[in-house]
Amino acid sequence: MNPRFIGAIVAMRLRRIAADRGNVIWLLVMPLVFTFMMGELMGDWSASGAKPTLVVYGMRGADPAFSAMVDRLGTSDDFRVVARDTTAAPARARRLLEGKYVSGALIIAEDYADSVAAGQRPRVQFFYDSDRRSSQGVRRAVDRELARLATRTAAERLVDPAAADSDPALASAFDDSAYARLYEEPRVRLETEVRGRSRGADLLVLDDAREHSAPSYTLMFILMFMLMSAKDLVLERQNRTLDRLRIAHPSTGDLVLGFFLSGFVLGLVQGGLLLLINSLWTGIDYGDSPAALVLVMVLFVAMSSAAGLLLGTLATSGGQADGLGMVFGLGLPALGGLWWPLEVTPEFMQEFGRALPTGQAITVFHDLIGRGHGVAEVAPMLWGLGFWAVLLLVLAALRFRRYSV
Amino acid sequence: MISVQDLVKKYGSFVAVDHLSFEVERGELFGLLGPNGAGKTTTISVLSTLLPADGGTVVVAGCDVGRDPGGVRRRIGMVPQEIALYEDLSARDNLRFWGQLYGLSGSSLHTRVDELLEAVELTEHGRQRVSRFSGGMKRRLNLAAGLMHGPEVLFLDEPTVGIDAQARSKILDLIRRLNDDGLTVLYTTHYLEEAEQLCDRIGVIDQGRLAALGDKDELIRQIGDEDTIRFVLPPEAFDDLVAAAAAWGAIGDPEIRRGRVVLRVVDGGRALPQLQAWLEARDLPLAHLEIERPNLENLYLNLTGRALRETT
Ligand SMILES: Nc1ncnc2c1ncn2[C@@H]1O[C@H](COP(=O)(O)OP(=O)(O)OP(=O)(O)O)[C@@H](O)[C@H]1O
Ligand SMILES: [Mg+2]
Repeated sequence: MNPRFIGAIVAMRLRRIAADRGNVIWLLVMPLVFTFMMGELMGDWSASGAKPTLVVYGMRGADPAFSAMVDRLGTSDDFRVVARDTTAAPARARRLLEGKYVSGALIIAEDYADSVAAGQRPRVQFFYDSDRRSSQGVRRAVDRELARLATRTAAERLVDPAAADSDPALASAFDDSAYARLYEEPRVRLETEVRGRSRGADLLVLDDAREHSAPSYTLMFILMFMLMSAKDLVLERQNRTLDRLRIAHPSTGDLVLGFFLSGFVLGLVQGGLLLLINSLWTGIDYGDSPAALVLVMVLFVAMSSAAGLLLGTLATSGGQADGLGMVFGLGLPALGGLWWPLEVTPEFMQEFGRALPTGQAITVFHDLIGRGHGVAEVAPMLWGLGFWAVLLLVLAALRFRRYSV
Repeated sequence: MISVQDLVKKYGSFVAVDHLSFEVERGELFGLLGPNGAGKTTTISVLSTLLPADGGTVVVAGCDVGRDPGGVRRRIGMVPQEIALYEDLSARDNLRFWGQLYGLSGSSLHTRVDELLEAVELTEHGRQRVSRFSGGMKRRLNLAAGLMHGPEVLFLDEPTVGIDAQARSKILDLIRRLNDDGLTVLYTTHYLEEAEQLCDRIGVIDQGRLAALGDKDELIRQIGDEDTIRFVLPPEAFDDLVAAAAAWGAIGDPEIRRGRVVLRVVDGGRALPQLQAWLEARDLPLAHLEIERPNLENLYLNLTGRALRETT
């Protein structure tokens, strides 16, 4: 090993990248634009786009008091209300929640109005996802409005003789114990079903799309730039600078290390800057484990640099390197859940995605940001990433040997 | 300094270099002349350890290319046929980089870069990006990059391809100066005039085989000392001419090609007056006379079977 030789190659390659100002666009500007755009676009993860949705089924069965309550929920700035006359089965509400189409669902029983008229307590089912911030917001609003509805009903009964007639307990107005009992037993019996905790680990734990888009586009553009620079190696072969390198120094190992490390250093600088800018700009908190954060970045960048090197040794022309770079530079991020979270894809795609380095890296980021995990918990994914990095580097080195005698 | 014996190099089943043998002395400027595809680059690649040989032995500067490639690499400089430079960097940065690879640093690196920029007349353009250079400037820098570490032997693979006459003569001058300073040079080209002007000795290579080897005069001798006289003669006089020609030192019988008599003789200067006398005696005119002496161009054409124009 000749550190001076390796250092000279690293310095030369970085200098060449710096010589082309246009590279800043691909290294820094584009990932930030994507982070911002996709973050805005997917703001709350609900597929409807702009605002989280509360869907209310069975409006036809509701009485005027309940309808008035739904109207009031509809004035919220934080979510929109979609009221449907149709009834729906709980299964449908669960599906909507899991697909992240809605942040909450109310199902009004068909006999709601009849129950109220009969002095019975009618039934309303509420579904929400305790792991999602938007869902929690909807739940708070619904709780508040139901409490208001209950109080109002109680007050109504206390002053309405007709109601007192139908309820022997209200024989005398403003009976303290009667009031207490009414308060304890509100008119509406709320059955709350919590979705999410049951499958906890599988569900997306992030609150904001930017917590996904910041790390994911950082990773994607690191990989992309590395794969796109595979062409450089093809060109070095074609214009014979690689021959000059080989004549200048006999060790293939040093040559491979020089090329690998130049990508590695560049990727670390690029990734570090992107994570920093994103955290300053949108206040993203990358969790409580700096060690895990550093490890995932180091391993992912190493994997990317090795992948670029391997591609450069495989491609036979600059055009081919570009084409393959595009295919893998877009394909691996898509399959690994960088474009959209793996959690929204079918189970088998999730498993496949987490076998890929892109899926492993973003899973670590989700765990760090959303769950506050540390090195121990994300270790399996880190091992996976390390495996890819070593495998690709070894393959690249083996391919490189054909250039030396 | 360079010894090539029975060198064979194949690409798959295609034999690119076919039992090639030649020697280059220390301090010699040796030219490898051959048309496109002759195997020049392949030969240089084997000599500079970039390609393994499939047969034969090659020793460069005392080191066997197969057994001690490291020793060869330290002693040689290589100027590829391509512009093997980083065109997005400046001339200075390019030279600095190649110097660093050979372990130069600090002021010795700086001095060497300055020296070479000076030698190839690029001092004023040192900080300019190579991509903005003219073809001749790039070729000169390409040459300088092969000299950074002061090699004993320099391999130059068609270093003047694609540049104008002025730029070419600058490069040839430079090579001559380097050679005068003691550098052994192996120079490949497909330009006959270059080889003729520049090289002490020339090996003509075609289809991987050595077709001729020697200095200029030796090469000419190889195609024989005969001169060729061509002229137009009325057909009825031809038989008489055949009978008379033997006395003038003719080699073989005269022939008629494309309406002209072709007479090959040992010495055109002596045969011509005799021919003239013979014609006058018969009152025949001497029309469309042409005398051809042997030259390298003919040799090259004969050996390679290809017109030079095809290759340029
Ligand atoms: N990598 C290769 N694979 C297969 N054939 C090759 C390869 N490189 C060269 N050849 C063939 O070997 C022959 C010799 O090629 P080479 O490049 O040595 O010729 P050259 O004399 O340098 O020609 P030029 O003047 O065009 O540079 C040519 O026919 C060429 O097509
Ligand atoms: Mg060639």
